[in-house]
Amino acid sequence: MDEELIICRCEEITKEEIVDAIRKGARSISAVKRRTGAGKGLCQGKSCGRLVARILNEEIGIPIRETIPATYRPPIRPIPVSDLGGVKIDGAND
Amino acid sequence: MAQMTEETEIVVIGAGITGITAAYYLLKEGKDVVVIEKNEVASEASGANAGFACRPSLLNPTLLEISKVALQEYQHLGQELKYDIEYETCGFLVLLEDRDSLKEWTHQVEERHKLGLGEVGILDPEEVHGLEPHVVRPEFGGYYDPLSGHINPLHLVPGLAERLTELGGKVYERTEVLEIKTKNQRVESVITNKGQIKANYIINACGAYAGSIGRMVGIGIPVKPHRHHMLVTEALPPLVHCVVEGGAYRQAEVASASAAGESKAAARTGAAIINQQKKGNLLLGITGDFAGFNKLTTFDDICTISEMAIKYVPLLKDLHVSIIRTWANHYPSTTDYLPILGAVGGIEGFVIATGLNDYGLEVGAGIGKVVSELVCFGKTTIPIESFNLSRFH
Amino acid sequence: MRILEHPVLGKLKEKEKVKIRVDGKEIEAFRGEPIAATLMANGIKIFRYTRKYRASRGIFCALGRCTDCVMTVNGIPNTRTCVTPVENGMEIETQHSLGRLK
Repeated sequence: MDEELIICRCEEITKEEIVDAIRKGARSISAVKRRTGAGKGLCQGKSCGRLVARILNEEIGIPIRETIPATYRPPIRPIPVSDLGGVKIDGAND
Repeated sequence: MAQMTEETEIVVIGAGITGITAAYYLLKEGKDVVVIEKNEVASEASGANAGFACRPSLLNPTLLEISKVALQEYQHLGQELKYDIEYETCGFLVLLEDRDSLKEWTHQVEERHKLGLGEVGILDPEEVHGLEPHVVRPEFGGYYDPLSGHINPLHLVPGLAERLTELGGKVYERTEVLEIKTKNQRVESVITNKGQIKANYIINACGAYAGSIGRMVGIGIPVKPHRHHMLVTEALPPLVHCVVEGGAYRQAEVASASAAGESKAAARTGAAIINQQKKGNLLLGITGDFAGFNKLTTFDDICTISEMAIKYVPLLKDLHVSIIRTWANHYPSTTDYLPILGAVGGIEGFVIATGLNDYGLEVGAGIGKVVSELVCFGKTTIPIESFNLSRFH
Repeated sequence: MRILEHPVLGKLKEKEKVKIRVDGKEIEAFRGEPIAATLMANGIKIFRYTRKYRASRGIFCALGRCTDCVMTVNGIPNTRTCVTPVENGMEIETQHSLGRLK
């Protein structure tokens, strides 16, 4: 019954799909993301990341504090392509 | 956790497309295989690329044969695997914006026809517009290959890795090879951070990291990490159909810059690459530079790609399309843009399979197949001598 | 959302009213309040339908993080209504899946 629970709201990935990926070898949030797509939507895992960590803990006992998070990448929130096109800021890469 | 001591026939180091497909074909031949991966399955170039299965990236008849095998394999793997690998022959379009480009690509078409790729051709600006109405009309038309395509490597490679374990293979992630032991000029075992595995064959399929494995057996493998940046937009309704390339992407320049040891700035390359994934997200690219093993994104690269994307698809600006993700990762670049493939003299059982530059997906499964043939039968149906490491010495 | 009487801040100050259109229907809003507040105050709780399961969505986190509340605003899809202030004449549409290209 639990299985149909939507974990990744953005991409509509169910708990069952995530559990399945874990049972077939996924051991981290990134690994679950690659196989199921959970965390690839508009919110980029802000909502489901911690839930996936909890499911990893339930399924294979990885302590939450040891769960390897998905790589943090810019942007923090969606930013229009046109806002960035051609922008040059000195020292931005430092 | 107790340190393991295991014995197998073949150890594959690296769980990217090369390693995983090689292991798959070896398992199908009834071999015992263990795949060792320092990070995770498809966590490096195989999990951070543009998804292109375009052909051919270069006019090399051998690579073309290998890519034909690869593309055929994707068709049937798509059916075998539980995941939808999203392989689609969406077409590859290069926008021709000046007379020189038209001349060069017309010549490319002739050469490709000679290699048997009769479907490729030059389209006039109107035809390009008809194919891609949301892309800026290129003044001199476009190069078009209807049989090139794209694929989702994040479903293909992990999906295949799962299949490996079903077939009796083993995949050890977060396991790093620390040492390779040889005896009587033959490989004997690998020492990892989780224990030792004895094997008759070791396949170095480590992509950009192949050099460090080579050093463990005292050989130099000239593969350099070439960092590339890509952006992902929010999911959109169908906007762009083909894999579209604009600007002047000359990977060969990258290779020669690498050979000349030029500075980071000089070796920076880029072109506009626009492709829409099945899910609707647009993949935008691409800039490249040599930054060692640095995987951090730079603000400049993100802005450069954004600028290029808007130049070629102005609708991105009108619709306020947002970027939701960016990344940078490494392609294994070689100075002559060719793979490094095959056995190594003086170290029996050691096979190299790396240097796929930026065409890894295009040839991936084909390389895996060829490697499995080499290990199982000592020879390959497609001759790979020209890709041997010995060419560098 | 729209809090008419707050235990600490007191009564909601009267702000300038503006008119927006939601799926073609005209609605009154207070200038500057989040689009989502206007919709909720007018009994509109469903903001969009998802792509896969066509499930209805509206407010979830209400702080601009979860992207559940997105709608097509002035032709621009995936606009987070809980953090986007209303403006006079705004055109707001219930978003179906990814929205439409115009």
